[in-house]
Amino acid sequence: MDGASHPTTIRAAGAARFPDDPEMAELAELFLEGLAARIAAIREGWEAQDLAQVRFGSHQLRGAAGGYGFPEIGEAAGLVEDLLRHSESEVFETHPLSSEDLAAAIDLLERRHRAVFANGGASERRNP
Amino acid sequence: MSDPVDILDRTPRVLAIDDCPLVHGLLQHHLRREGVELHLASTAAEGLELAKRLDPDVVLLDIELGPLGVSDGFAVLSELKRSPSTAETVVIFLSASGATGDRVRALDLGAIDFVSKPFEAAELCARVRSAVRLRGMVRMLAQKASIDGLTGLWNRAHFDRRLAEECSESRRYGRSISLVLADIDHFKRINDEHGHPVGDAVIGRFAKILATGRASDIPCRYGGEEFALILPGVSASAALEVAERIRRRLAEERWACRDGLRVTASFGIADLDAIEATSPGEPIVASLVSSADEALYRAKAAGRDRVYCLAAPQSLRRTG
Repeated sequence: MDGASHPTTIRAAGAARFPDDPEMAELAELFLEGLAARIAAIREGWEAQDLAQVRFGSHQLRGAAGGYGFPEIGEAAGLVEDLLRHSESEVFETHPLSSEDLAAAIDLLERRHRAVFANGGASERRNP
Repeated sequence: MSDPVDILDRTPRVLAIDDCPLVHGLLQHHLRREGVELHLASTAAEGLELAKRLDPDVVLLDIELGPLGVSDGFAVLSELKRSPSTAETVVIFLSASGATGDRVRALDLGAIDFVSKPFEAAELCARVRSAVRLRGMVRMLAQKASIDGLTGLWNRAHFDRRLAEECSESRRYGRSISLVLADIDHFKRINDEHGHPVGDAVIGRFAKILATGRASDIPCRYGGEEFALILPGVSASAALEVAERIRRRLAEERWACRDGLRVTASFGIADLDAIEATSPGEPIVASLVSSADEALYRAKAAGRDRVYCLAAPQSLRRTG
C-alpha cells in the first residue's frame, strides 16, 4: 500500500481541505479513496492507446475534483482533456498532438495526486 | 377534485442529468439544505423518462452524456422543450465546457442558465433557488389562466384541454370515462328576484358541492350557470350515482342568504363507451360533449331537477 491510499493519510488530506466542514471533509475522503483508481485508469487508457478512456476519466475529474476541494487535480485533468479535444479539431491538422505532450499532462496529474499527500493534505499547486 | 394549487405547494423537484457519479455526490450534499427533492439520472434516456414522470421544476443538465464527444445534453433539452408536459421546465446547464459556442447554443435552445464545472456550491444553490422561484411563478401564472375566478374551479379552456387528454388516455388504456354537464335551473329568475350577489353565492355553493368528489374528478365551470364534471375511469352507471348525489345535495341546501330559496339543477351524462358504440369514427370529444348536452336538454325538457344519461342507444335513463 503506498502513501496515497493509506486511510489515515486520506483522512488527513480530506480534513485539511475542509477544516471547518466535517461533512465536506468526509466527502473529500470518499473522493480521494477513488482517485488513485481513476488516475490509474487514465494512465492505462493512455498506455493502451484507448483515448476514449483517457478522455472519459479526465473529463469527469475536470468537472468534479474542484468541488471536492482539489482544484489542482481538476486543472491537470482539464489539461489532459483539452489536449485530446485539440486532437479532434481542425487545428490538429497543422499542430498535431505529440505523445510527449499528453504523457506530460498525465504525469502532471499523477504528480499532483501525490502532492496532495506530500504536505499533510494542504492545497498545493505547481506549474506544469 | 384535484386541487389546482396542490402543485404550487409541493416541495420543488430538481432533476440532475449527469453521467458522473462524483457530480451526483456533490449535488446531493449541497442541495440537501435547499429544501428541494433531488432526483438523479446518469443517461439521456433515463433523464428524459424521469423528467416526463416527475415533472421537475428545474433540470440540471450536463452537455456530454454517455460516449464523450456526443453532446447529448442538447438533444435532451430539445426533447424537453418539444414535449408539452416538460416544455416549461427550467433548465440549467452544468458543464465543464468553457466554449462560448456551447453556452450560446444552450441558451438559444431554451436553457435559462449555464453554470461551469467545477462549480461554487453557494453560487449553484443560489441559481437553483432562483430557477425554482421562476418555475413557481410560471406555474402560478399558468394555473391562474386555468382557474375560474368566481368559483375556483377549472375554467372552460382547461376543460377543453383536459377532456381531450383524458379521452385520449381512456381510449389508449381501454378505460371508461364519463362527462356530466349540469345547469342551474331558472338561474335568471334567481338573479332577477334575489339580485346578482345571491346568484353569485348560488354559483359558488354549487361549485363547492361539485368539487367534493374524488381527487381524480375534474370539476369545471363551463360558462355562466353551466358546469362540467369529467369523471375519468367512471362508467355511465357510476356517473349517474355521482350526479344524483350532487343533485340531491343542491336541492336540500339551506340558503342563509334568502329564506325559502330553493335551488335545483339539471344534469346530462354521456360516456365514452356509448359514444364509440353509437358514433364510430366521429370525433369523440365533440361527440361526448354534444351527447351530454343532449341528455341535459332532455333533463330540462322533462321538468328539470333531474339527471339524464345517454349511456347506450336504446337506454335513456333518468333519475329525479
